[in-house]
Amino acid sequence: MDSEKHTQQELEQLAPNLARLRKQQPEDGFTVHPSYFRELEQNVFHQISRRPTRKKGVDWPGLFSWLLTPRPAIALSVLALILAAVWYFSAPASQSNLFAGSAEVDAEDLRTYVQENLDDFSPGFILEVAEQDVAYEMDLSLDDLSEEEVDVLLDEYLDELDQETLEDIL
Amino acid sequence: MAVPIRKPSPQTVQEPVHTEDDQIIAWLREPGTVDRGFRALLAKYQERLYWHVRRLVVEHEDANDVVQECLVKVYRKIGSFRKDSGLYTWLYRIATNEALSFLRKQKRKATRSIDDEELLLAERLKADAYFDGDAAQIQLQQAVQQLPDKQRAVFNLRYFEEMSYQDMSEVLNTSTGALKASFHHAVKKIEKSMVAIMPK
Repeated sequence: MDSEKHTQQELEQLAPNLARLRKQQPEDGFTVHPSYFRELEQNVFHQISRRPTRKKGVDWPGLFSWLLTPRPAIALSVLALILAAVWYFSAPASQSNLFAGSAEVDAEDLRTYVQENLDDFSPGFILEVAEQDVAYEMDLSLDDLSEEEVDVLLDEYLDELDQETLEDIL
Repeated sequence: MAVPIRKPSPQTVQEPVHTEDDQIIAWLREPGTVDRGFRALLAKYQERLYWHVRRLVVEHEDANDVVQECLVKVYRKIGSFRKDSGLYTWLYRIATNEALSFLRKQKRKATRSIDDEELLLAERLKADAYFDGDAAQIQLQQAVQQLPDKQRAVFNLRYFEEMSYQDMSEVLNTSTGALKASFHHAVKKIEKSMVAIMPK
């Protein structure tokens, strides 16, 4: 083996005594029980099955808890008030009544509208609605959630909403 | 009755027949064949990884914990493996990082001084049911343990595993020049500390 020859040659130039020792005793003296490696494979598979992979889903309870902590809650409330005021005073009457006849608008249309105009809605409000009907079963911590991540989560959540809930949001 | 032991050597560490890395990777990437791929990976690499970790952490129990943690990580992270590095060097990188991280934690918790540790190593090795080296091998291990952790990894990979500097560079994320210098330094230090007991 080239690499082996090379290591030995290197040692002979650098440390002749060590090179001689290596030639005489290439092993390191460490040993294991003969069945160790068979058991290792079983142990590794056992560990893998015992420690389930973390779910990649959205941690709604974690997200709600985070949003209800003082700073984001106050920020979102203020934002909601501003948006509501701007929308109320600037929207033309016809647009305000856009969904008045919601019998003619299906859930897909509503979802598309909310997604396309996500910035016009308060995430806190949407999440408040979401909080009422999402199963609390996930366990990821979202302490470090960025604004972009909140947007993605909201987007995902909107996909799951039914028409009635969407109408509530609007 | 003495516990039966298996003596490792570079010749016995490698299994005679192994699946090609490309095949292992292909199995690992298909949801239906992940376990098959992982079994093939273990058959090919678990012993080599164990001995690499064992030389760094010395105690069998510690090596067992570290190598299990490492292999579980490999299973979990296989999706992030990029083919631009070899499977072999990727596995060694994870194992080395795990072992070095273990040693760092151990040092933080240590209550004995480094000098005490060195003195104790010989006694620990003599009493270890899973060490059957002679006086020269104990002396070599003592000298190796005096090296800084990363330099010890460099020395072990080159001296015991005959790994090329190029592969070591991928494993340790260090330039080949720096690795050569590190190995040369390590060898000089070990030669100096062992010269008294070398067989003539």
